[in-house]
Amino acid sequence: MKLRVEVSPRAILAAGWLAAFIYGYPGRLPLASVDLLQHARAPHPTVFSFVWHLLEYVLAGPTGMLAAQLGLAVAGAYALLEAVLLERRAAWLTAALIVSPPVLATITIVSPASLAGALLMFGAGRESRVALGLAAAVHPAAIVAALPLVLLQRRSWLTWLVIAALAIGANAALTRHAPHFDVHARVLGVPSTIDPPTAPDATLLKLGVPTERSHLQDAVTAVLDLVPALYTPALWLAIALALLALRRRDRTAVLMLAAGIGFAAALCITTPDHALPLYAFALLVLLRGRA
Amino acid sequence: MKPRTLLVIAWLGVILYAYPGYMSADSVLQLVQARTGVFGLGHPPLMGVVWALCDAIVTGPFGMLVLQVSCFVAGAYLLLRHSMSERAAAAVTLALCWFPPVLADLAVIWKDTQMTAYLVLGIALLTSPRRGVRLGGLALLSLATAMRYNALAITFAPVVLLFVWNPVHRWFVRYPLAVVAWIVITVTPAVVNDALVSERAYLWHDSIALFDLTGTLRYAPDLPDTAVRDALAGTPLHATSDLQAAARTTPPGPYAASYGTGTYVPALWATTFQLFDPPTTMQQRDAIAAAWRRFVPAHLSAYLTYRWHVFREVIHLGDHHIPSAVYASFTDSLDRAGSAARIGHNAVSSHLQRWLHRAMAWIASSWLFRPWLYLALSLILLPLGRDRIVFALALSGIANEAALFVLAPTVDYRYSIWLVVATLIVTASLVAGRSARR
Repeated sequence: MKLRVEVSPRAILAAGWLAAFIYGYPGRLPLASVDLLQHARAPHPTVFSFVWHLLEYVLAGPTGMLAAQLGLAVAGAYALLEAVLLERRAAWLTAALIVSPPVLATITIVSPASLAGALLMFGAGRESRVALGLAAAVHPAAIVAALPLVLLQRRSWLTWLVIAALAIGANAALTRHAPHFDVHARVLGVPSTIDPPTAPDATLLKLGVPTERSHLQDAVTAVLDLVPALYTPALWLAIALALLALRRRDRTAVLMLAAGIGFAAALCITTPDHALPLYAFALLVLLRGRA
Repeated sequence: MKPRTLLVIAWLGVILYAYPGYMSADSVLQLVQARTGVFGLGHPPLMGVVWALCDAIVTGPFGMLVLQVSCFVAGAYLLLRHSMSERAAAAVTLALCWFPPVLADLAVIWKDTQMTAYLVLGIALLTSPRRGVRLGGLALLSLATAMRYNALAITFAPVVLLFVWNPVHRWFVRYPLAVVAWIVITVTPAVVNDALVSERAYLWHDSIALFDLTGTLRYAPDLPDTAVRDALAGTPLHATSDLQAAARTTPPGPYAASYGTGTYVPALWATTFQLFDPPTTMQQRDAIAAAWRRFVPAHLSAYLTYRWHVFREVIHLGDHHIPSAVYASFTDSLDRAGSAARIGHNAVSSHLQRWLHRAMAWIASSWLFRPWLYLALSLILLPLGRDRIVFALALSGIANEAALFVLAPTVDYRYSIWLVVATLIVTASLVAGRSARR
């Protein structure tokens, strides 16, 4: 007798979220995010710090942000895939996307770029202007990426202008000066390291952030480290451009790829998490293509 | 609202209150043991093994918190399902989890809480119609027994009354088999714990036996020094003369933090170490055991008087003020920075947690945290428990306190957590049963 266990799409999505959460727990903090956590607890001069500050009402430390980033990414990716695939298949592919090495290695980093990437995915999938606006507000590169996604929602470019103005305005209101575009020239071909440099243990512990990594996390990191080329943004840029050429008649694919490329191009990718939208949208186009 | 939704809310509420799990000095030491694999010093090695497994997946206390809260929520729901509808059982489970006297302990990574979580789920699984699940229940009860010595008293009634190897067995086969099962689940963890210990501690010889000798000597009839010396021959006596007078004298406070809270018990500990020096050799420990065997049974009334005074304080019977029963520190509260550095773990409270802490601190010394109330309620409800599960739960709660009567070393609310949980489940089940009959 063949035993067939029916797993609901929701359970599959929860499993994907949980797997990524366990790998990323309590949230991988690059040095810049350590500063932002401090800002979230003192005056919060950016929208990202303000969002973190709000999440700290419920869960202190990076875990709330990690959970939120993963939740947004899962919900957005599922919506994008479910539009063209059967529910269960879309759920499996979403789970696979979240735990795929390039996405897993970047979405578990708690940073403005990762949150913006997750919000862009959510905004694209759920047709949410609020999510796109928030993405643009937490990371300036998302302003560029938001344009194709606004067009994907079949809205006017004026909507994008409003989103961009509100995002810049919100940051300006909090910082009392213009948003800071942290763009450093960096060669796209340099492979990004999976583990970003972080603050000393004593600083993290003082902020209430655990410093120990579990054996499972170390083992997964070791596996992820096996193919460093996977985290070469230039490779993914080439893939995205190739997909763009191949799927040029597919409006959704073109706009999603444009968002990923736009985000990357706006920054020249200086840290691993900057490449998340590029990885995620390229993979989503690949997975949707299976339909 | 669906039962599953209510259970998720119950689970999430506890997790949000406790995240990532509160830890005392004991918890920190156990996490260190879990990571080094060097077990002992009075802590159950099997808890260290469980923690090492959790720590391998999610570092720190969070894995243990998820484990204990999940077991508790699932177990409470399954137990309550026997006497009420699914939705009512889920709603009562939510109320039980969030009830401050339960929540206060469920949030902390202690062996007492781990024991309680495994007990709740283990007993619930014993009632399953599937043998494999019932055996799983026995395994969980065995794990609970590995956490604390008093679990062996707690598990006796549930295992004997609820465990069925095969439903077709008559009582004269069923009960002996259940007793054998209880012996197996009691002996196995003791053997495994003993095999895993690498730093042996002699807690009974070094503390409780000396405490018993001092307490018994205090209430024994007047004895000459020579008789006391003969009875305590070979023990590391600190006092040189007027031994019984020394046992009856209470040194002025304040007392060491390790003597715990309360008034009578910390004072008696101070007296104990006024009368005795801590033993340092095995000969002295053997002499302490021999003295205990000679002296305590010979003065049983004095021993029971002293234990009653201890027990009265453990259950806070007649106490006007009780210490706060809520612990909410993410590392050892006496050495936060040092313990955080030792285990590479620290956390800060969210705003929500800070509000909840304030609410819990306000309620933490109220009558809700007096175990005697739950003991009295259990004794009243015991005859009403016509249902086998309810009766077994009520008995197990009372058995926990009976074990504490003999063995409680200090005053600590967490020792009575099983009584509180069992009494609440029994009460809810009986109320639901009466409503259903109407």
